[in-house]
Amino acid sequence: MTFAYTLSQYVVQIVAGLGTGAVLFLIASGLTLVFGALRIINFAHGSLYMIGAYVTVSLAEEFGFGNAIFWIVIVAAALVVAAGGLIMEVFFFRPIYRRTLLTQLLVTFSFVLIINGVLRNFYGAPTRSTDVPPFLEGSVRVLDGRVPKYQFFFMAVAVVVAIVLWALLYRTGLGRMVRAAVSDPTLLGLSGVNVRFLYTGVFVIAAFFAGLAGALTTLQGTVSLDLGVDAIILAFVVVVIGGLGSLSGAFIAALLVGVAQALGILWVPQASIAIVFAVLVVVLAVRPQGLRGRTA
Amino acid sequence: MTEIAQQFTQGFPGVRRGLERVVDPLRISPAQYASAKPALWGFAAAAMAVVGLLPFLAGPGDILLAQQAIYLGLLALSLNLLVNTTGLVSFGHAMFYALGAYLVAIPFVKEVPVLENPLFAFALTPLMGAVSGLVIGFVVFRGRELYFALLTLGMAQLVWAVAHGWQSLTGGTNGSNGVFAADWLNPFLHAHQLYWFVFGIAFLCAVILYVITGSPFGDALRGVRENRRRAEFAGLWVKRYEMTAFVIAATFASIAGGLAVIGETQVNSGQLDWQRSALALVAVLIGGMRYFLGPFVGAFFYLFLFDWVIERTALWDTVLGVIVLFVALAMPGGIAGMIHWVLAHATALVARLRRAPEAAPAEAAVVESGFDAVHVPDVEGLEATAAVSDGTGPPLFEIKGLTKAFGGLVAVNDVTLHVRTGAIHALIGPNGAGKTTLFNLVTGLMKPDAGEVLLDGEQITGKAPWRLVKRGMGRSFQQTNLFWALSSLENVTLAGAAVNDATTKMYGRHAAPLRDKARELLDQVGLGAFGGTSAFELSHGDQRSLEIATALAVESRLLLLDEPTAGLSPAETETAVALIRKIAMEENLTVLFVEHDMEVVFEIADWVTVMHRGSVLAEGPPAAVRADPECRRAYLGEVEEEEEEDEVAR
Amino acid sequence: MSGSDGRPAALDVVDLNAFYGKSQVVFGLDLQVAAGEVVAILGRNGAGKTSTLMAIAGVVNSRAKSIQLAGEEISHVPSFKRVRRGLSLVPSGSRAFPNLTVAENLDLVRSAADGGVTWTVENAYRTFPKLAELRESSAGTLSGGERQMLAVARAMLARPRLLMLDEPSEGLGPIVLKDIAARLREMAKDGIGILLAEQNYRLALQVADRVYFIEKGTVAWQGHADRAGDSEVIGRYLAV
Repeated sequence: MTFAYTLSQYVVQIVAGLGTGAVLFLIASGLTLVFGALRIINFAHGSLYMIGAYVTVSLAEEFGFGNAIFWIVIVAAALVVAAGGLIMEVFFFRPIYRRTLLTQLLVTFSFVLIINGVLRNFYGAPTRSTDVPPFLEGSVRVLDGRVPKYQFFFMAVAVVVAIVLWALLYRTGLGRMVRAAVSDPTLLGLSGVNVRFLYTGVFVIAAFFAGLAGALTTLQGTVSLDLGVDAIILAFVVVVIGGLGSLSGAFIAALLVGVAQALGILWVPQASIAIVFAVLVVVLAVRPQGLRGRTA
Repeated sequence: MTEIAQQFTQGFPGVRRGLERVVDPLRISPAQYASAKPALWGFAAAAMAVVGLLPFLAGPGDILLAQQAIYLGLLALSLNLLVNTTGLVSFGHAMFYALGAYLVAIPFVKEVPVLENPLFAFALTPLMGAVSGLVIGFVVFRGRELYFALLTLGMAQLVWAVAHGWQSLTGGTNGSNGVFAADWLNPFLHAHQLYWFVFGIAFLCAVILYVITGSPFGDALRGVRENRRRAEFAGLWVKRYEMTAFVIAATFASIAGGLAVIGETQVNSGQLDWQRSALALVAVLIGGMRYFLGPFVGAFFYLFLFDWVIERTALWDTVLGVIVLFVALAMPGGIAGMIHWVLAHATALVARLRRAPEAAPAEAAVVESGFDAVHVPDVEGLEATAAVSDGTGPPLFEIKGLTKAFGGLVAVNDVTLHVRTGAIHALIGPNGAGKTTLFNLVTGLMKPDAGEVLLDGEQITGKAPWRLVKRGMGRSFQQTNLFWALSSLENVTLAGAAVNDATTKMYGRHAAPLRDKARELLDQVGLGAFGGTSAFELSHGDQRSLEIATALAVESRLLLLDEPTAGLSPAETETAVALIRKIAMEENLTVLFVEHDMEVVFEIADWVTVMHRGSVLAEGPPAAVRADPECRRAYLGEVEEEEEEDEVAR
Repeated sequence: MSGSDGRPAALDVVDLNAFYGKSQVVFGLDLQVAAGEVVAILGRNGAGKTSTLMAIAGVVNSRAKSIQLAGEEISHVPSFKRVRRGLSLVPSGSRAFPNLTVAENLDLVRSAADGGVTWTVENAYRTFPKLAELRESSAGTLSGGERQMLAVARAMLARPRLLMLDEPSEGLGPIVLKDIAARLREMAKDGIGILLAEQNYRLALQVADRVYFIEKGTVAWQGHADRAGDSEVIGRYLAV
């Protein structure tokens, strides 16, 4: 365990951590919304993210990753994942809304297995990667070190998405309904809203952003079959620390976790993830409902 | 499965009818399931024999696989104590397995004196499990339900991260290798002996767990699972029981981990991550968590299937995922359940072929009380004279100046109430009067802002429910609160055992006097014929009666009944009323009950307290209260008064 | 059953049974509300009034021979669709969405396609000027009376053919109650059927044309409102 790093190294690492945190936010935001409105914990959310990554790899191999193509590819990947999410919710998740926690977790977990197998079958076990689109090549000077451009891109995307989600929730009719569903779904049904349909909508939106996160993550390096599980575990930590159902909590917690992990890599390289879980345990022990959650 | 079908066919009554016609003959009645039990036992014994004799029956590859299934099975079995028996879902159970494994492996590799003997270290794994269970338990029990599950995941990941990262100690993903426990357990020279050692230890552990699960302690855990609130009100210190279960589960998980190292002679962090915890859960589910050996069935099924599938397709985890999905959605009984189902059909078939007359009565004996059956139980002395019990005497129960506010709303406002010993005291009042809040305050579910509560002169203000129960207070709820999956007899027995701390016994059965008393109580409330029926199968009226029986079982001196006749038909109400009066007289109980049904109040109450908007409005004998104009106004609205004011103002 | 002007009954319920889990709370109840009629269900707490309304709205488990809304059978229709066909329920407890503003609460309502009345959000603000003042306030900060006004306004925005209210008087002062009573009479004049469940019999008798007394989940007495005002009847079914 070593703490001897220069300020510059720290800053660079923290910035990188913010970048990772930004991608984490994209994943965690969907997870927390789904929990707030539908009240289920979706283990397969990380797998949706992974699908986004692999689909992006395929599309990038097919069409290249030029500046314009890049945007089309990532949106296309997100849409594919959204479609997958639609099928998952309508056929497999709807029956389990009223079932026990264990059933919900096992059903969502089964999709982790299913998706893993399908992806391995199509893409094989070895890792894959893509190039970086031209406009994101290179790095930016920060103090004495350099930070890859794409990290800043991630942060920009995260901020945009946060604004978009916020606007969706607080400035649109759909968002109104989602917020209403979080507080009183029965009353919402009595207002003539098809709450089932709404649930599907929320799920699909969450899946879209998970897919987008997956698409973006291809810029960071390699894509492998571990991606899904690593992501879901971290996403859970973020969501729980931030408070289940809280979007702002997810934002803060995602950045927090990203930075914690980055610092962990500096301080305890072999067990960087341990820092993250230590934070989780401490937060839950002290404030069980998370930073911005309502009392459990 | 039928629920799923129902949901999908909700808009299509024709389809649903068709589906029912197909599914109904496949259904098995509870009686048939019960009569298949001997067959199930036989099957289990045969399966265990096969596993035990495997070295003679199969090749080395299968033996190794079976060994692995045994470690996983033992881990899953220990997990099932939490999941099925106590109702706690843990995502990180493998952390205890890891700790046990490293306890055996690391000292050997590091040549730590004394502990470097793997067998000795193995003997210490239960201690490791228990201690770590206690420590980790303190952390994870800070959360309930979902948060508990996530905390277990977090802790497990923490343990794994340390194991993974601290390479100098654990060897990380390379792990600790070459851990040979003893010459006679050398896997290369004495593979069979090793196998029998593993099998033997696992068998011993399973027996111990079986005894614990079937003991009064196990009953208490099942009560906690079924209905945590009811468990509190049966006198169980629920948190302590949950922690104990957690520690026991951790103990056996550590033994499994140590056993695995002895069997495999190695361990590495890759085997101990979240996937192992998930695997244990999957084994529990696929095997059938409601059956004791289900986890082993699941472990064997999973590993052998995995072995078979992985050779044939790259889609092995998809196949497994589909199986998990199918079982989770459609087969709550798991594979063991399916076996039971098959055996039940088989026994039924055999019985029919033999035209055995026993088959028919067995089914008739199980009375299925649906909502159509208005069951009027046969209670002796129900036509007791409308005797007014002598409600005079010192107050058994005193509420003094009790106040509780929620934000700006004062729900209970300086309420003072005395319940005399032996009285049947009614608490009435219009909607929102604060009656249920008052009940919650005096039964320990909420802490009052001010005031005190005394039972027989002793301060009980703000004490936890289970303590109150032990001091003689029983409570029923507006919505019936029972141990749903347990039978009537089990409900009552458990309540009686819990309050006497007889549920700390981890072996054997409840003492005979307890069971006899339970049977007596069931007779007393008219449910003598329903001892074997599950609580959820009883009619609503019978459920209410069962609640009263459990209240009697905890030997209450004071019974607090919250709307005892809510949801009862007129006939059932009559029975409930007669029952309350009868037991109050027979057992010399003091009763305080909330009611909306005025006829009930007038039939049995000696004394009535009227609450309105959080305060006591009036009290007295029923007739006096009825005539009181204040009360009339409270019930019928104050619009009249204000209309008069308006008119005067004009 | 159609009203005197040939319109189909706003509501016609035959043999309604409702359940909360295992317990049956409504036993074979029959009920009609003509178009433009105000009908009150009276009874003590626990008698089954709320369960009846919830069952008709499709929110609780129920079985009925028939439930007809303005002549259309709705017993197999899911709850939210019943709202879209013109059935509106104001549940008890002055419920609103506390994390939304008053304006958002109102905008949320999905009105029936060919509903009973044309009502817009502007109507709501005109009818309940207090709500206009509180337009941007979060509904969680409103008083009980204000939330109830909001709830009634939301129910009207659904353009119902049948409006059901569960204990609208609960927690409200006499002036507000007078207001609500007047509104209800107006709505009835517009041809909406109104079904009111109440413990406060005076409010009910002020507005209702017909009354049902419910006890233990069945109809114990029914008749015209003037006869229901008889103190004997009241005493029997409502009082202590």
